[in-house]
Amino acid sequence: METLLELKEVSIQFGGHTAVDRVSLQIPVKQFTSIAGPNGAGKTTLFNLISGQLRPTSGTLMYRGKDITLLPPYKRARLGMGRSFQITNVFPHLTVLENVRLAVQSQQNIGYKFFESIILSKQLKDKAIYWIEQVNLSAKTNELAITLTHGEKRKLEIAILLALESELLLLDEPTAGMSLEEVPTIIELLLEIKEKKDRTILLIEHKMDMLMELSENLFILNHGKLIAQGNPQAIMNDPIVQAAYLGGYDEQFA
Amino acid sequence: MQILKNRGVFIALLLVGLLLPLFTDSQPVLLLFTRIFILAIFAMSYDILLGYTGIISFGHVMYFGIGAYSISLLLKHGGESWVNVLLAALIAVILSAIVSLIVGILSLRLKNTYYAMITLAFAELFHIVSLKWRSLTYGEDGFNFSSQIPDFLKDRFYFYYISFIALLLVGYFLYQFTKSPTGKVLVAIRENEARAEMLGFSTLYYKLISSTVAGVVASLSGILYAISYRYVGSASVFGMDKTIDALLMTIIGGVGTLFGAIIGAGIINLAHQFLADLANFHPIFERWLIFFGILYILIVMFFPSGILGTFNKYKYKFQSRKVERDKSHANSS
Repeated sequence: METLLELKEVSIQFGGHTAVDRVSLQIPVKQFTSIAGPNGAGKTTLFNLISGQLRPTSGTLMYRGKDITLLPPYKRARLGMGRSFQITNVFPHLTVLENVRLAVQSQQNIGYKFFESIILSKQLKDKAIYWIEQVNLSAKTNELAITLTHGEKRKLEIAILLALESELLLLDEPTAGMSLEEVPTIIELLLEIKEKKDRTILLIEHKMDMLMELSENLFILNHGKLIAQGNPQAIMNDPIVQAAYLGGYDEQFA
Repeated sequence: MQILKNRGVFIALLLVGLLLPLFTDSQPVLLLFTRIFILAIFAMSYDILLGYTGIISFGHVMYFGIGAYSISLLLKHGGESWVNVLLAALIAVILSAIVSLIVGILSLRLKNTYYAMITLAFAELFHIVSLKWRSLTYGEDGFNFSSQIPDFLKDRFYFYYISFIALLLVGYFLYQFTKSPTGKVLVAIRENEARAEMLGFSTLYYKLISSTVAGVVASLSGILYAISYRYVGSASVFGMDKTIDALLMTIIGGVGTLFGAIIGAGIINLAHQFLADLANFHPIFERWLIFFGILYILIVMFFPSGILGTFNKYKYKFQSRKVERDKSHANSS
């Protein structure tokens, strides 16, 4: 199967602490892949390395066979990598529409235009409204992002990501902090994207039922190391993974 | 033209500006308003940096000074000619664009605080050069170039309208700029730079654009300022207090509102004049800067978003409530 993103022996150290330790993995194209692991396993750090917010201490990252290890985040985004954040990270004093419009503007590669064009403005707005509808946030289109509830902000985060129309979606715990009633909406949304089979998705998630429902491939991280990978069902029955989640991994396997 | 959405404010401003000289022929009043228009242009350029991009500059005055010295030196040494006026404008634009790019490249890769420090250092550098290069600039004393200014620009009545039209044009261009796709990215950078970069925008380039636009516009206001005084001196056009004035005009009018800067410039310059005049009534007003300080503190305490910012906030709240009310009416019926 064709590989979209490949990590080769990627590590990052903060002082004496190795947050990600020689991780090598391959993300197959147009598949739903997840990364799981206990708190502090290095999942978000790994995402920061993939999206370019951090540079690895050693190792290489390849995207479609091209070395992207030293590329800044905006160039990775231009290559087709879109990322959502665990802690909602929207533009707080812009409206929902303006937030999504920016993503549409980036996707359409408008460049440095210094004058407002009514036609272009309408195109961007219409497209943004389309993506806002996709995440059921139409009622809040003209509200400032700062006034949204946590769940709505998460939806906005996903709308921004979808509007980028990225080839690779990096989703960092998209349901974190959401109420139980709101979680199914997001899962449904992710299932819809998955069923379309036109994007590659890399998800970080804690919730086991969600991982099992969505993932085609699963990677387990613990203490910055990759300890298991493969089919989700098989992995969850793996005693190493169970020990990592329930405790006792260090004594048994380290 | 979206600018016409705020039609009431726009037409009122236009009428006051156009008709004022018809009601007064007092030279000091015309000069006061001329300087309000010029400093409003300077403050609007500062708002592009601070209000729209979230970058603070402590040396914005250097672009103002570049403009002021370009016109004064060219006219002083080149003599009275429209060609020299246009050439000075061209030199000011090119020089301020180059300086803003250099300053930006040196500092904007890093945190925005470095930009504040580097601009301060560069502004001081220009200040010192203008002080020490006495053979060219006449140092601290400065020089008068009244006799070299073309007559048309020397006429207070015409120059009032030139400054007013410059304010309208710059206001229009900057408004379009803030509403353009590039302007939207600048606001995104102000709101959340890391996120803007993750969306695929090269935030460094956008910040450089913002810095250059602000620098070029500030240099144009410097040209008009020097012509209005017919004099240039290092302290008057390279002094740190001009940057602080721009900051205060922007804050009082409303950061990130663009036209708030016009209100800010008006209030500061009128208060300046008014408080100084009150010294005739009571000697305490000779220390009018104290009252000025109190005025600033009160505005920052009670209108942290500035005058236009506070107005816009209430307008937004009122509109949201109206939408809510309409929705609930629609649901109940």
